[in-house]
Amino acid sequence: MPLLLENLLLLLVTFAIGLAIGWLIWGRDTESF
Amino acid sequence: MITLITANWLLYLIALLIGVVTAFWIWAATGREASEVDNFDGDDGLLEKAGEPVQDPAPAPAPTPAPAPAPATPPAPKAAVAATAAAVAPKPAAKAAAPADAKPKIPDAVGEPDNLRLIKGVGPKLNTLLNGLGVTRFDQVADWKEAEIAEVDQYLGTFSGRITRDSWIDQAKFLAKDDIAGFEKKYGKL
Repeated sequence: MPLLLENLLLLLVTFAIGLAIGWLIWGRDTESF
Repeated sequence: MITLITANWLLYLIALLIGVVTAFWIWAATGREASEVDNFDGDDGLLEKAGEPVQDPAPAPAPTPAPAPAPATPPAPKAAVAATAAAVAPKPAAKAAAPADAKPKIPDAVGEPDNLRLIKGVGPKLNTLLNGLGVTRFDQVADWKEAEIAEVDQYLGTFSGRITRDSWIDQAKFLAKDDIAGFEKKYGKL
């Protein structure tokens, strides 16, 4: 796999992890008011 | 892969932070605004001010216990089947009755019910839930102390923690006094 693609994929994964952490903190109970 | 991570760890940390910030923006920042829009459509305040307390319709009647399961094996004697049916039937009934009867030990509301949805952070679901728990008035909420907050909080399920997080007590104090100006100054327009 080209290095750039691998790098981008890892960046995407870390972004998704950050998103998931944020959802756990703020998003879980705002869905159903 | 490891060398890539060690070489660019700062980049990944930034991506992680961007993810967290994006999540905050989506759910904490805009979620709150959206909920306020959902909760406070024009009719609410007007109805309340016109002296017509808005109350949710009576909750749906408790579900009747499911019929006893049909016997799987026909050869069993009828008396035995009846006995098992009698033994099985009370269980779902007891389960269904428990949440309906469970109410927090808090002082009862005295007087006409208020529209609790005027409290910022209380939407239709919470309003129905609170009415079901016997919470219907602002002065009732305004008088809650630590013990009552903890008591009611146990019954809020996924909304647990909202009483303190959304400052229900302080909001209810304004609303109970009919201090709309004070409320709007602190919590925004009704």
